[in-house]
Amino acid sequence: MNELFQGIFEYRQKLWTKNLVPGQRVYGEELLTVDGTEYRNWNPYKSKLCAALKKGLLEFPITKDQSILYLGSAEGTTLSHLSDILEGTGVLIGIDVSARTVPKLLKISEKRPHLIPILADATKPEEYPAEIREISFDFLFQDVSQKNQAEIFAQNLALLKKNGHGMLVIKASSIDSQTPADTVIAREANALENHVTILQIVSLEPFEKKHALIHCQKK
Amino acid sequence: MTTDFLELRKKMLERTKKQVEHAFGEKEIHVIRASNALTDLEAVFNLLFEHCKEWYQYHFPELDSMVDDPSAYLKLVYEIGDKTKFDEKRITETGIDAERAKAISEKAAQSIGAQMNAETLTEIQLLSLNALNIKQEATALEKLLETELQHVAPNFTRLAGISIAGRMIAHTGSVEKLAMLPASAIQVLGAEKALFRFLKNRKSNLPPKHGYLFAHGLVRQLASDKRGRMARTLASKLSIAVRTDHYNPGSNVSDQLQSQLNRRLEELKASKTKNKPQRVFDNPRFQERYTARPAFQPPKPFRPNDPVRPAFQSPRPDRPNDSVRPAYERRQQQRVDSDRPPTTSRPQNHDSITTRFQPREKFQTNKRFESSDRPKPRYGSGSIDRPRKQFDSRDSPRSPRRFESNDRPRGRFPPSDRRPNTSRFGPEKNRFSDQPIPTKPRYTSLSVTKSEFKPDLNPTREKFSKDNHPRGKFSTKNAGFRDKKFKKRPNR
Repeated sequence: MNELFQGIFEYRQKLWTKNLVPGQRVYGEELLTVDGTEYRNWNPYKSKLCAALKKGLLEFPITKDQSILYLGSAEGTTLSHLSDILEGTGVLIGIDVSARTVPKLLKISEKRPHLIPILADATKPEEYPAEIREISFDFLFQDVSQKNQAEIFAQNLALLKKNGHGMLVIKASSIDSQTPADTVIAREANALENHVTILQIVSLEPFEKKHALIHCQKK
Repeated sequence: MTTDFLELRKKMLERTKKQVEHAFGEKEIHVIRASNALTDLEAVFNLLFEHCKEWYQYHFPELDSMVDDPSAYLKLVYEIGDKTKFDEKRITETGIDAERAKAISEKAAQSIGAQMNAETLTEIQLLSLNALNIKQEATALEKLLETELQHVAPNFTRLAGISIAGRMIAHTGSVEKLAMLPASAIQVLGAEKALFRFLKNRKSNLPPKHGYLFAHGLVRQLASDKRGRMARTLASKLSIAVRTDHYNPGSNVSDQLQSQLNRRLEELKASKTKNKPQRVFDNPRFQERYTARPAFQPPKPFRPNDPVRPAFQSPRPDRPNDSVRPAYERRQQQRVDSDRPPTTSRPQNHDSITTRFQPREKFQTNKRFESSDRPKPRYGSGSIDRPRKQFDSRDSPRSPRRFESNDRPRGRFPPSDRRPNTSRFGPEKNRFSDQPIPTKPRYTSLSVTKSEFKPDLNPTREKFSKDNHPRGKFSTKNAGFRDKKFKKRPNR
């Protein structure tokens, strides 16, 4: 068991997180018990954050007792791993626009007391509940496949604290399916340069085609 | 966990639960689900009916031609079964009129079908029972769909009919999205495969005239050359109807629109078609493949000043009346006209993007975006300046290039440091900087004259036989793929 970053372990060429709720699977993943602690397998084909880690993400700024805002949480696969990394401390807000996926999130949040799922539209952060808007988050993660992904990210940066870290997954085919992916991603990165300092751009091949994850820090 | 946070969490969870409950009660959900279920039920019914019919044929083959309605057929099979029991009384009990019942019972007595044992007949009867139950379920579902559609989009349903309205709403997901579509989209909704096939290659494909609307009564009753015009009119009226339903619910425009459609139908029935249905040969789009017949004109000479390559004069002996030259000839002509060396530098279209973005020294950007966006090389016969490109296995549809871990560096690196700037497939490109990565020059003059340049030693040979065709045995279009394929086959 080799600890890459705080809370993320590598064992036999797979990534694992310590299970906050031992014995429970969230999406049918493999469980592993080593030295009395149970770990959950993190699948890079299902989770874009894991794919980025496998592709050489150099910095992972999430530690315990941090507040994270997650846009586009869907059924909560990546969200559950972030919850494991936080080890039940801090605040984890998962926002999704589709009502069909939220019941699954509600089920996950029964056993994870720091997780709050919210049904809201990420394009309108001014319509989030007032209590959420008051929190100044340490970390912002976005994984929505919309045409105006970068704009959504830029608008939600207002909720991030100063020098807070953010990660944005860009799906190039959502923005422009005709131009080559690296052109589209370079364009988005340049647009974001006004608001953030970009630290790293990671391509997610072969786990996801034409995807990239941008790791940045608010100015 | 502070109590503040726990209270907040409780409040937020309740709020979310209420929102989900509200979202699950939206009106179009039942339309979409009912429509999808109905489509599948109809398909299943048809499948089961086919099985029953095919199986029962061995026992009583003549019944199929005497009974049109599948439900009536299945009812006969289920309730009677054995052909010896086909008497008029029992047939009329299943709902068929007396005259036909008499004919059926007579045929049953003289039927050439074989006997079947009771177990087999029972199985067939169970199949038919299940099929009938599914049909019953489908009918009930259709009634439900009708009531739901009346709530959601009454004008649209009245014009389009239940099944088409249900399919269109299920396709787009909501009445709002349907209302925002242009009428041309409504016209071809459901024919996406044909539409995108056309959009990819407008020259040699035709656009679809109708999608789901193909099944509409007004379109179906017209001859095929008028269907497109009816579909267009119908789509525009449907668009008006659905927009009224979304933005002005409660108002009734369907009567007016229906009368307009009826008038248009009469107009189209009476009209003569402008153009007769074309043969493929007459359609100018397909001129290249199916040649027209005007007089042949010899092409211009290829390189009149070149002593080695002679003038391109010989006509095709097998197609002397050709007025259209095949594609490779025209391409050769083009190469003469634009007598420039081919460009090898990358196009500089986004000048500001590549220069403005400077990665920080501390964190190296990982810049490889592989496979799918590589510019595709073209395989041709080559020229003096640009020799013929060998087939690249990445272009084969059978084995697209997979991610190879060996030549993918991880972590920080400047490319020239850690490993040499070569890879199996060519030099690495520096995507975020103007500075080129130094490469060996591809050709020196010596190598060109020695290995690349091959003079045509037999200029008077016949150019178009299969063996010494300049392109080889296969067309350019499938060059890479068929190259690999033919390697394994014997020479023909």
